[in-house]
Amino acid sequence: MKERLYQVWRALIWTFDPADRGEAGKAVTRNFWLHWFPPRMTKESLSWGYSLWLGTISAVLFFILVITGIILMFLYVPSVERAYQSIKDLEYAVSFGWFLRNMHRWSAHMMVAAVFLHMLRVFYTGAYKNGMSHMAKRQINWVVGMILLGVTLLLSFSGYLLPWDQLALWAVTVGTQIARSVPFIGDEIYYVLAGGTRLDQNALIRFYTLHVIFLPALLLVLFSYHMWRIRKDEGLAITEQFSIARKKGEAVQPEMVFSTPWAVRRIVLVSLGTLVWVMFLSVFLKSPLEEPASLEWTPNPAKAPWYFLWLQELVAITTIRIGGFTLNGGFVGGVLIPAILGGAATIWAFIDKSPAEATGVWFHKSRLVQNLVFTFFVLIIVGMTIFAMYFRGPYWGIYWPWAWPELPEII
Amino acid sequence: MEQKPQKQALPDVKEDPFPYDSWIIYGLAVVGAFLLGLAIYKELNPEYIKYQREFKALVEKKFGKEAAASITFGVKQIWIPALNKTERCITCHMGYEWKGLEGEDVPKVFRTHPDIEGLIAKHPFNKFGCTTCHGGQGFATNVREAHVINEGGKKVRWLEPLLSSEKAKEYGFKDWQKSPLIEINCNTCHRFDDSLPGTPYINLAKRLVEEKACRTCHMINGEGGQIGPDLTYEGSKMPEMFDMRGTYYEIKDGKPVPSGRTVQEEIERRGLPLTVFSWHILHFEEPRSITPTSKMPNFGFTDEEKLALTMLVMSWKKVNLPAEYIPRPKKGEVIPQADTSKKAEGTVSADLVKRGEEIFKQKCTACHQIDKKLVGPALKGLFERRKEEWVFAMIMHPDSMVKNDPTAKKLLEEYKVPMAVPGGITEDETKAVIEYLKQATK
Repeated sequence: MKERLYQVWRALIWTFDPADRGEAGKAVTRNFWLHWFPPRMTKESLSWGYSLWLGTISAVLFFILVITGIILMFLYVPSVERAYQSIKDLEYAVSFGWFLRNMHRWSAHMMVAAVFLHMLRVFYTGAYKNGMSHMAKRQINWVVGMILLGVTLLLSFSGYLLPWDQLALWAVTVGTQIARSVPFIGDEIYYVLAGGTRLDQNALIRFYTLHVIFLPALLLVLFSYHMWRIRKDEGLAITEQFSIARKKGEAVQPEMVFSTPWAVRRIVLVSLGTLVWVMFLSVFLKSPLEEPASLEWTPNPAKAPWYFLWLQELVAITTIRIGGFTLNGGFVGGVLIPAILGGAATIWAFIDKSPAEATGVWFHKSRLVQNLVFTFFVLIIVGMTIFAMYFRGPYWGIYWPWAWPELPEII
Repeated sequence: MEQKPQKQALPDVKEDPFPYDSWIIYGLAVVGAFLLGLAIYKELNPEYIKYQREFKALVEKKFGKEAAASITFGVKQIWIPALNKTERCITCHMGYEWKGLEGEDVPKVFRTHPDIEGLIAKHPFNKFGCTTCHGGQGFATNVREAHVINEGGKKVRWLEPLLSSEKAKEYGFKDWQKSPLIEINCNTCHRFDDSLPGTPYINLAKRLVEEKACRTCHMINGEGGQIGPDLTYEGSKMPEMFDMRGTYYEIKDGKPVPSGRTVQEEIERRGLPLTVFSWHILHFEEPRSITPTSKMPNFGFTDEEKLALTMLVMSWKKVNLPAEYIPRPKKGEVIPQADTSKKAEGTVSADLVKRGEEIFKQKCTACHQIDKKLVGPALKGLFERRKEEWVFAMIMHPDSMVKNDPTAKKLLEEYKVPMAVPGGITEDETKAVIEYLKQATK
């Protein structure tokens, strides 16, 4: 049985039967789809426990988003008169429209989370370090990764506006107003984003174009470079551990496995798992869609998308009222603090001077202090996000999630 | 010649380094197939299918197989681009246009739409759809979202909720079974008509607006005073614009005293739903119970009048109507205007007194009555107290009078609210009012 399945697998994926390692290598490098893999990898690079496969999951989510997104482009009309109606049609009238939209929405949320977790994994394993390698420049990939995180957030944020409902309009209002508090050029940034002095058709078409062309293209280019760099940096950081061990005189021989079929199969597994998880969410959880967007009235409370909620919370905390005088926290909480945090995290790969042994291992003891400081900030960000998501109620007051006050209706 | 690299022994690729991977993939494939099946099942079995099958069975029972054959399954809709409406209500309410499904034996959801007083002939379905009158969410194809029903703590919010009879019952309408709340949507288009068949509440409210001279203080349709808020688009105000968490006041010895409850708690205490509608009911009952500084008098409205007036203000919505939807004005039913043709008349005639009375009712009665102290003093015996010139000056120039005239200053101290004549007044009109008052205040 196993032999039979193996034959089927071979028939489908790799009909070529290499006679030696050279041929096996060429089989990979000459295949367009496989050429970004080395012919062989260490077994540890493919383990679950080291990378948690978060990068692959992010990439798979991105491809789900591209495919569902292209189909949605046939159905969505980026105009303030029709956008909302086209989403309603997706929900109620288009065949599998609800499923498509759910998959796109949940993949987008998942991708923000996956990319963020990927960043955490790379930090905690010291994977931006070069170890014993003289060739590797993994710091560059860390910086590229931070930019990719930013692009992912922008992609999600620009997509947030498109349904043109109250949730979309006011979440983006919160976001763009934070951008407006950048000193000197804040108004210009807002004007470039919104295409005017308020969120209207100009803003919608700008966000749409950014969302469907500009940002995905940018992400694809950066992603390709990100993958290419992994090869040029001599693979995942965990492989450095073998060089380190060898230098110490330990006779370790890494177990090498062929990229195809073993790595390919694992990628198929992760892709399928991600797809199944997104499908699970999409079958059982509805995507929110509120009343049509209206600048005439503000929902109470108006919240930013969840991944920017910590910024909104920061803005709220840093807004100080002394008597009748209000110091708006938009700049300090919305721009300065996140810029410092993001900037520090980005250049940290160049500052981190921990020993080479700390490369590619989880929580190396030499990096204890920086891991703790990093964790501290991560917990604050996650904590503020959860707090703003579940404990901030009407008038931005603090409520237990189950004791949310009843809000008035019209009739 | 290509140099062949030194041959290295090929490791045994058949030895699987990750022996469980394949099985996990098979497992995931099964789960994925199951979820896909579930998605297909959900797609093919929407909530409305149940109703469509029931309807088909009903038609077959009543009119035979042939009639039933014309019924197809799927989303049905009336699309009205002019109003930007897509009405999918008829996906379930399939019998709305059928003849012969009027009877009580037909379930309500399938019943033929009644044609009350030729209503449908004037408002054909393909031009007006469903939600124009009934409210609710026309896009939706499930009961909960189309009818905007909040259940189990799960909110469905929609700008134009369904104006159902159940809603009317909650507000205590005596005739709630007739869904009187729908009159709100009638008047959204018919706001300029004096009265309209089939809208008793709105007609009552419109009569009250004239009787109580609301325009004295309020701008309505761009016409009226500016003492109170402009009510032209009162119905478009969102719930967030009403402070439900403010203090509710009780009136003791003519003064508002905090009751210790919020407006929201008062609404809940009375068993009313927490809505803008309920806020208006409370506000019409006693404006100062919500805004203690309000100058609006307590008119002592009955329960029915409060409901009617609330419906009227809720109907004053901002809508963009295409020209062909604007109802024809009712000729011969124009709001009575002050007659200006007799301007030149100088002698004290019965006509002049009558005209004075009309103006008085329009512009003065909100604050002044002959026998009763209201916002302003009672006017009985006015000319025994004051000279005619004083009264004339007070009506014509109340602003400068309350600043300069000692008597007027004292009155302002006593009554707090400075006198103002809504919409201004001409010299001739003032003279007419004075002639009327000379007789009325004796």
